[in-house]
Amino acid sequence: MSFVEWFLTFVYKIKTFPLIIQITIVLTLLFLIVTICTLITIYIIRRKYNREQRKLQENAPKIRELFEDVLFTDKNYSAEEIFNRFEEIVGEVNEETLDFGLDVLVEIKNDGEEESDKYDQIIDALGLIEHLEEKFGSRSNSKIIDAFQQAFVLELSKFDAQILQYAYSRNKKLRNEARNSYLALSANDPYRFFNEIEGTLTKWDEIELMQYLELQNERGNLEGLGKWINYSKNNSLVIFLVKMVGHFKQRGIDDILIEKLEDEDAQVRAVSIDTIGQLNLNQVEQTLIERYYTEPEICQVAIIRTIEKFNTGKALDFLKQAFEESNNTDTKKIIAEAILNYSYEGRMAFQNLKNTLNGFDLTILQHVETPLIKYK
Amino acid sequence: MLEIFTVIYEYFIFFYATSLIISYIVLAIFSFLAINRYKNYNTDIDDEELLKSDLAPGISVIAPAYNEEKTIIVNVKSLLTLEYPIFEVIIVNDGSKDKTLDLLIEEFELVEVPFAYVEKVKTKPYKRTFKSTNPKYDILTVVDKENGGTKADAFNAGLNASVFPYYLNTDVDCILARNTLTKMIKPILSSKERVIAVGATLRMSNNCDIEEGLIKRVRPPKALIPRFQELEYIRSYLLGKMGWELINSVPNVSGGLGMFDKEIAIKAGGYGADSHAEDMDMMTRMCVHMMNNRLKYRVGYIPLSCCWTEGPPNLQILNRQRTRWASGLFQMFYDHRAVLFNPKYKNLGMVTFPYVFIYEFLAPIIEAFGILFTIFLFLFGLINWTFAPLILFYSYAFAVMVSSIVIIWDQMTFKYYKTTQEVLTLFVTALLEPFMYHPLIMFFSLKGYYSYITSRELAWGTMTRQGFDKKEGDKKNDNNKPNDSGKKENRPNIFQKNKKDESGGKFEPIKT
Repeated sequence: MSFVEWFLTFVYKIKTFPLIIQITIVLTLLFLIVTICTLITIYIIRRKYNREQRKLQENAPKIRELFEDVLFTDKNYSAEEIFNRFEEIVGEVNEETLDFGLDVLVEIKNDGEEESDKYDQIIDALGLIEHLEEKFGSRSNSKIIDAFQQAFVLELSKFDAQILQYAYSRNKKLRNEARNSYLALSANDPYRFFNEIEGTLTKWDEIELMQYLELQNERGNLEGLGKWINYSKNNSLVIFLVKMVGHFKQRGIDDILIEKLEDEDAQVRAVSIDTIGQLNLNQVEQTLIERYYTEPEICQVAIIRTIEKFNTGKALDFLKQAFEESNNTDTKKIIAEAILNYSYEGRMAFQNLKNTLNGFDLTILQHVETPLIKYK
Repeated sequence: MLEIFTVIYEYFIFFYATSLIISYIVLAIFSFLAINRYKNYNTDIDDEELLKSDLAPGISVIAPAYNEEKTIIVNVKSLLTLEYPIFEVIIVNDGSKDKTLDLLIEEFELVEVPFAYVEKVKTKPYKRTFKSTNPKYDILTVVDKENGGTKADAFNAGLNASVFPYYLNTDVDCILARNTLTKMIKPILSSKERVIAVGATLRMSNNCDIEEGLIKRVRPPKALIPRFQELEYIRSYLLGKMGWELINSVPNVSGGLGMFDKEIAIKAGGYGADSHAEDMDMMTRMCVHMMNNRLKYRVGYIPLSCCWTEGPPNLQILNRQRTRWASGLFQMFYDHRAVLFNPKYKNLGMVTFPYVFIYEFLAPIIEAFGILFTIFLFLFGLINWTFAPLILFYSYAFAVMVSSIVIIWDQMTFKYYKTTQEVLTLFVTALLEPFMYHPLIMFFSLKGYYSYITSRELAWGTMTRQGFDKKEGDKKNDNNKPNDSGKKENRPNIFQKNKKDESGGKFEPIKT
């Protein structure tokens, strides 16, 4: 009996089975086919991966050696020499090998062990700008996100057009990433999207924006952030920018910060108090002391930390009183630490408190003064 | 009568199996989407950005230890090598009877310090806190407390001693990848909603190369039981939890590795001190707290393997582990029975809890009944031998297909194994699992349910460690009898619990 005959007999036999059994047979065959397909896919994925790994293991150290030679030695390579040496290593310069090269270059830059101003030489020689432009045009979101980050790490700022196409993308994540990255990667108007930030900033947005602002600061292009603090109705943006004012020690917006002490949002008030401390605007010390007992805990902690930073010597009685009256152990620890760090008088007051207090309050003081406890 | 029963039973099994198969297919699609979404928007450059940032929030790594002298030093060193801008490591010595504490004191040059320990969550009495005099270990805190009988009680003590807004709970027998903290905090940082917990995949450390507490080379375990467990873990995490992640319905973040929002954990009352499924219990408490207070939340999951733990090397230890888990699952459903099928708890009450209840909790009972019923039919000559093998093969083919899909998902996320042969080893494991491993798990689960109902003693810390020092550990422990030094706990049985409920101890959803 030939296979065809056997198969036809089998099919005919199946037709005589109850429907449920027919469905079971079909599904079982489907499961078997899917399993075989997955096995083949696993084999293909692994073969591709093993080939890439072999190439990477062979080429990555050589590429790194070449790039480090260009970046960190006095040797003068021409663009052609860099390209030819790279081609010698990878065999053929194509999208895949350029990606290898780009990854290695980003890794070297990220390691940041040595400074070099010759990154542009490699970028120009290998045409990495064009390669990144192609990545920006890719249909794969992961490649686009990769391109944003690689361009940022390499401090490239010629991608206004490419980023703008994503700044209004329907994909929220991509749109967000594009708008954040625009701050670092635009050569013309990096602050363009500050006024268009949608909804609450996530903590990751803050981390990204902060590093982009740091890059602008390094380039000497950091603008005064006060105008956005003053006019933005987005509280999360205001909170972030007030933090950044403290971080970059931007002056000239003292009045705006003091005004923010009256803001309805406790988080805005708390972060403004912290920034006032960082900028040492100690003329508001008395105002902060007066506000202390009417503020929520988040602002109280900010006030204590700010008064500790002012270290004017005039607020010791307030700190002692706050310590006595606080019922929250975490806040008490912060106050005790502030007293301990409050100049010589503070240390004396701390010793006096130790002599007079007992029980858990004494343990708090001992906890705070124990240098072995790194995070109090 | 028998015929009617048989027909009803057949229909029940048909719908049960069909719905299970459909749910697996749906979860496989969900997990594929969730893994792709994760891969598209997360890169290793993110780690670098986070490591350099002043805005990275602090994380407390909490690991309870009970009689862990064999692996404690290597594992604490592993925890200390994590890469993150600001974190502390808290080891909670839960009244160990062996040399766990002495070894810690000696190796890390610990001294007792005055520590303002606040009992935000009630635990068995706290004794003291140790800090290292060696600046190299300045982020290490060792809390010593009386034994509480459960890991949950020890976690609570760690929670009380922690200072940062997020904490990672892990076990001291776990080896973590160095980038665990940067990878696991990312979903919290990048979400607009409050993420109350994040989980990641666990794997077996048996046969991996470990040096100085770091995983140098990942291999699937050679021994069959841990290899089965490796496949089971990958399936559970990559297919199950990643799938649930897409619709914000992750039922459980593993006790071996989970990152949590400390404020919510404390407000939810911490870990149930008498719970033996402390991870799922904690997750449920936190979700219930959020919903009772009408707060939006997410539970995140990442498809990366960040944690390697020693799998049970023999049947006896597998038996203990699974009996405890099953008993804990029973306890969890008993304690949180008000959530089950309760629309007030949205996805948790109407999707996740019912799913786990029907397809995980009831599965061993239904399976065991199926086996008994088959034996009955066999004895009475009622088996349809024409179709029975086909139906059996149908189930088998489906099980193998699901495992092979999971192996692909695993290869899609990160290629942990170096060779193709190692990947294929897992596939062979998938062929053997339904016959060799699954019946054991069913049996141990039933045993666990029985233990819970009859209030048999349970223990934590009864997993005999082989240690990571292969030269010493392997030979010594291959024939080890299971450690009987685990702290035993007497719990009221289910009937006593009911009596307690009648006298006013009725479960009420936690409100704060």
